[in-house]
Amino acid sequence: MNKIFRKRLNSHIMEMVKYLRYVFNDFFVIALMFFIGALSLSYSNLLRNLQTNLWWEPLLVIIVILFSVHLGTMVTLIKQPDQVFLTPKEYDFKSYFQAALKYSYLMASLIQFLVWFILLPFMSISFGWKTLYLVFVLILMLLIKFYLLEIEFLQIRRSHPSPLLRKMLFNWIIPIGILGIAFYIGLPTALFLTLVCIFGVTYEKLHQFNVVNWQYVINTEDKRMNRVYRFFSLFTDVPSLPSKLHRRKYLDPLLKPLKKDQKHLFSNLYLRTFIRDNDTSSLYFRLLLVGFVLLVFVNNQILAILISVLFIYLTGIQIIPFFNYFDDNVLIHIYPVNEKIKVKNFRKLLQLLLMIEMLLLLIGMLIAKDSLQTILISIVLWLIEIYFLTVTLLNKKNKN
Amino acid sequence: MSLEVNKLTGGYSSIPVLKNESFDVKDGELVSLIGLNGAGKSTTINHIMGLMTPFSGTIKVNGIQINEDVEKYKQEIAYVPEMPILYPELTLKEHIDTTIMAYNLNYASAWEKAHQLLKTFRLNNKLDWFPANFSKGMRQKVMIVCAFITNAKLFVIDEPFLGLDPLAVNDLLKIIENKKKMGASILMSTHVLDTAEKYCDRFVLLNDGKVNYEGTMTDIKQRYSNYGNSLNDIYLALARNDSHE
Repeated sequence: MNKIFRKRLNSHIMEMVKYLRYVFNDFFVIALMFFIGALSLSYSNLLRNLQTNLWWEPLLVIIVILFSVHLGTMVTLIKQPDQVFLTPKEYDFKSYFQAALKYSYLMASLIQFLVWFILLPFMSISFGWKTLYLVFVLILMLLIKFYLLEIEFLQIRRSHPSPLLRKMLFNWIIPIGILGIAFYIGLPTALFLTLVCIFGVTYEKLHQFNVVNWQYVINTEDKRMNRVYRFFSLFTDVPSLPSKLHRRKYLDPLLKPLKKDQKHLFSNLYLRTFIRDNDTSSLYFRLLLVGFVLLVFVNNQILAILISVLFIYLTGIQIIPFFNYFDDNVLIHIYPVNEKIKVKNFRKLLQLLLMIEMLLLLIGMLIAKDSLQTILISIVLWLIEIYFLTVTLLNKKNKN
Repeated sequence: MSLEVNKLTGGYSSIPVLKNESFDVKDGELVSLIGLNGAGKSTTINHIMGLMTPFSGTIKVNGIQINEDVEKYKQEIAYVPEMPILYPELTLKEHIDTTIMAYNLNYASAWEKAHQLLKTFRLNNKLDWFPANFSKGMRQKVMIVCAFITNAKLFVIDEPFLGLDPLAVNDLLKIIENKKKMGASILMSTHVLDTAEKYCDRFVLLNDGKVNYEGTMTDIKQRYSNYGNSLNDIYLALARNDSHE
């Protein structure tokens, strides 16, 4: 079983490296360097003016560490088919999950180390601590992380997920207590308490019933991979894992006025999918929000026009692939419905979405008190753009 | 004549899977396509549904070929696929609405039929659920309901008996019987031979993309009298012989 994990880990790392190559492209690296540079400059400015023993300093450190120890979750690399193919080996899975724990802990520890390293100068100034105590903080962070991971791994063999209250207690209240003791009472006491907690969890782990809760393990791992892929999808194409659907019954009234006849078949399908499936709609709303916020804060008139035109274009380009969303569904090809209806219906939807965006951008410009001239020029450009996107481009897409 | 397949040759890319296939389904008839895995049943169905274009030969549904009038041709057929195909983001109610829209059905009367069918298949209390999360048998029932509320002339059902519970199989056969009385015809493919033997009017035995034999149960028994007395025995013997060649 150990071998299986190692093999999976290898291919997982290969995959991650492959995607990271896309992430760290030249543009991003330059942007990142500027970003880090700016951040560290303001951080060092802050440190220069920092005084010792202010009331908010331990509080800030506690909050930072509290979030830091929740970074880096359980990585099991379990896949859906495992629940069929590997269950005969279930009794052997201890070593598999042991290896998974080791890997997860290594990864999480690196994060803890990084956060600790950033906090170092802050702590040494604000608490006036010497090296030994600062190293104690690192050890404390690593121990708490280990405790939290152990709790996560406990869930693997639990037939029912822990109730929320229990989760709150073990994941948040106990760490908060320990950190409070560490920075207000004494570090050694906190270290000792963490060790006690770890012993407690380990004890429970040893006395656990030996049945793997596959559903839980698979769901958690899928969710984790989804998060990873969503991040990478900002930079490149990733395999799409099935995304979660939301019924959103409260939005049904929105669909009421839509006619239910053959001429509106695809309007119904597209709009319902748009509302319930997050893939397209979240993209749209994110673009809407970013465009709006940018316009509110940009004062340069020419820049404002450029930004608004760019965002309408981006939105259109990103939503047009949604046109092909149903192509894999055989039913669509069996219906006695003319292909033209699909194009017409989609065009209506796209126009509607872009009109809403127009309206919002307009409000943004009004808030920013842009000149009338700017607003009029923008509106003309937007309308030309919408025509180009919904007619010229969509027709071209339909022909291919 | 509900369905006429005439000298159909077709397949994927350039390799023909179906070779010169001819058979028909008359009005009010239930015809079964029978053949081993890979014999060409699904490919035949895909051609009839208009999902694939034949290399040569013609397919007529109610006298119309697909290239004469695509919409009219498709209006005449309803399809129940072997693997249920559903919209993950639509509820059961919306699936029925979608079918009504797609086939331009009368809203009230189609829903009346739908309610009846849903009740038969014990789905009437799940109208607001996402059927994509149902079990296979239940998803299949949804497909059956959607197909049988249409006024199609020809119903194409790919392997209806696997995955359905015995009660549902029985109900489906009754529904088919009803449709037959109203003059519609059914073409289905199946591996459940003893059920097929009892209920089908005619059989098309497919082998390697060719029609091996076409006829009623009596015809088949006469022709292959030395192979056995049930469709199952005869078919097993035939299939074994073929694989020995």
